[in-house]
Amino acid sequence: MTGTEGASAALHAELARLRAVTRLAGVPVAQFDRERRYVWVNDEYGSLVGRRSDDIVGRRIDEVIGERAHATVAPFVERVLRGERVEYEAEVELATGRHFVQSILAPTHDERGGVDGWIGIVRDVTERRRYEETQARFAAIVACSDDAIVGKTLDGIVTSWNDGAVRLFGYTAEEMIGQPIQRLMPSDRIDDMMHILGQIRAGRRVDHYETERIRKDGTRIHVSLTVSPIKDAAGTVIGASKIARDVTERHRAEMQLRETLALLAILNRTSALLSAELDLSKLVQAVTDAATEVTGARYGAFVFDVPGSGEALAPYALAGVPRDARASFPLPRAGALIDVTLREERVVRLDDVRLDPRYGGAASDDGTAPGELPVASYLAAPLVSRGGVLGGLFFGHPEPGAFTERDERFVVAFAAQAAAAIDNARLYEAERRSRARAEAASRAKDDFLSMVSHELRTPLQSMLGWVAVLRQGRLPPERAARALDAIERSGRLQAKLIEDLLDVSRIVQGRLDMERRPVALHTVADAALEAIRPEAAVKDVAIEASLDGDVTVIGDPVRLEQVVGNLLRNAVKFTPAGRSVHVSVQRSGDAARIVVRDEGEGIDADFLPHVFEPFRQAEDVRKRTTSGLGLGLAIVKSLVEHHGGQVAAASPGLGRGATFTITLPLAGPSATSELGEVRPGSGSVESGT
Amino acid sequence: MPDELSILVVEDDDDIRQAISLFLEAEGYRTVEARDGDEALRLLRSPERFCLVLLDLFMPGKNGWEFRAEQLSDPAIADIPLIVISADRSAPQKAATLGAIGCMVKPIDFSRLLDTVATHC
Repeated sequence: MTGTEGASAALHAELARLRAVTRLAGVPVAQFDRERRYVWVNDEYGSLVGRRSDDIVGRRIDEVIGERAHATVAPFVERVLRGERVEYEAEVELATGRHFVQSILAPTHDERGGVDGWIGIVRDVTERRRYEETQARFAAIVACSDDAIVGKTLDGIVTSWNDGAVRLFGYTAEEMIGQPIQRLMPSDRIDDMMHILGQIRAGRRVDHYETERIRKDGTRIHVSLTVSPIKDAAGTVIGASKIARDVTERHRAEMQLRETLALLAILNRTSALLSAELDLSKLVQAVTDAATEVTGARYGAFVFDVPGSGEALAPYALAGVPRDARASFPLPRAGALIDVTLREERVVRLDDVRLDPRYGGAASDDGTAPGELPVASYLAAPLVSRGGVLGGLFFGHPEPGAFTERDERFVVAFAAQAAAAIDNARLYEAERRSRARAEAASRAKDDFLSMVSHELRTPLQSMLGWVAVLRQGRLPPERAARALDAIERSGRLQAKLIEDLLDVSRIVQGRLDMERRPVALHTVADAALEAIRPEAAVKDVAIEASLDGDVTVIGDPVRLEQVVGNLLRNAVKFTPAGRSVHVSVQRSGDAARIVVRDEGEGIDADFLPHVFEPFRQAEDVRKRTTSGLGLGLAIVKSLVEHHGGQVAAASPGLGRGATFTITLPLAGPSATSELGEVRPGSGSVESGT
Repeated sequence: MPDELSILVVEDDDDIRQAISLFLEAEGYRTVEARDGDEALRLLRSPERFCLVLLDLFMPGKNGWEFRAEQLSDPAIADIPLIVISADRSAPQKAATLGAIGCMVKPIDFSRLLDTVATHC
């Protein structure tokens, strides 16, 4: 073997060893000469560039790896050929695709020490780079996420804390990593955490779990959590990653929606009531109750505005107040604050009424008078109707700041609705009353017309009946007088009824014409007595008269006779056969007095006050014992009063008779002197008894 | 005549009651007078037999309604027909509710009364 052969053999052996070693390492290796031709490559290198290794040896590098990849590596090749050891990382585009490579280029030397080529060792790190890129991207995503993404151990120790978590919870990563996650939990939500950890330990994920957390600044926030178990390579759960999203706003919106729905339900119920309820007191109570419920007030009151009513305003309707506390109900207390609502018609909402100077009468340390209900929060709204302020709705709560702007808006809307409803109820009430009055008036008119009709028809029937009997011509002559009596009596009765009606009509219209001259009362009494005697005789009623001769008044003799006549006719009418009627005329001090007493059925005490009212007769209309319009006594009263006198009725009770007493002013002495020429119209004048 | 039927005239006004009674008697009818419902019921239950009741409504004592109610509840006299004679303007409606066979509003025409009575007695 020559030396060259020996050296060549040694080189071969070395290359074979190299091939074996590099295969074992799985690392692509190639050797180049100065002219950048491949001297030797291993199979791994062939796989990397996509050629068989024996197709590579002897070719130039740019031929094998392509122009683009060569452009990338050429600068490093320059350097290694200058004798430098070069390490680089680069992304190269090969026939097999884009690769990330980490290469080491080491120069080789000839015997004289000159560079005659290089050996390149290439590590394909494409997979690792991709992984790292993905990781970096994930990390960026986590870092940039608006959601809080938190890693923790199964014991709840925080292991990672992104910016979202910083923003959401207010703690920095430094403050939280290594700390227990429990510091975010409200004490009443520990159960939630136990539940979540239980799920995680069992390897299950928890999705969109809504709970509450406490920020570093102490505020409570609503969060939606998605918690996933973190497992090691063996699948054992070693921790949890948690994504938390702030749903406070959404939660608030939901709560508001729920409240609004509840509010609508109450409003709906109340509106129906408001429009249907026309009973004022029920309406006001319903308004107070509903508004108290909706505002969440502890106490509610409705107060009718009574202008100028002084210090105490009586609450008309109350809600939420125990019975025994009603007397001490602190709202509303009269004063400047109430005036803002009832006079200035403004809404008042105070977080703490005790701090307001207009809230007068603070009598103890907490601002409430002894025995008063404790009220801090205050809300008051006026009820303004078409006619002005009707009153106000007042609400109180022992906690400060209990009423929100929303409560205020609601109460204002509610007050408007309630005011309209109260207006309606009042209008309805007024309408109902006036209708009832009109109906009563109409009924009274109907009743009166029926009665007049009945009373006028009755004597007419008597007359027509007896005329028919006479016309038959079969009446025995001795009974003809009976027929004529009946006709005459009925005719007179009819005339009297018509006179009474005309009198009442004149009285009502104020057109009663009366003479005014001295009248000796015994003369008018006598005339009246003469007129009634036939009727009394028929009824077998005795009349006892005691008439003083020197009792003179100023007036109309015809009217005064009518007065006495009406009283006598009534007395005779109500006195049974065999009994008496007593009449007297006398002086009584400065007055003239006429008394008519009967022994009849008397007057019930209940009816006595109404005895002089027109159209009033004591008995049931179907039990009519007597005819007549019930106008006699009304006419008496009116005529007596026109004479400046008075008439009174008295009765010891039913069955015991009745006494009517007329009192008239006596005429002066000058009037009395004219007496001699004066005679009442009825002619037959006889002196007393 | 023992089997002759009578007409009962129930009316509190003496003049009217007597006029009706005299008028009908003069026409050959037999009449019996009552001043109120009590007297009328007493007479209906007497041996006297009646073909018709002429009834005023507004009366003291037992009034027309009370009389009629008691009459109808007594089978012995319930069938005796009733004619209401009243000065009340709404007497026809009232008579209808009482189950009367007729009603005349005062002042009544006596010749018409005669025609009406003739159809029942």
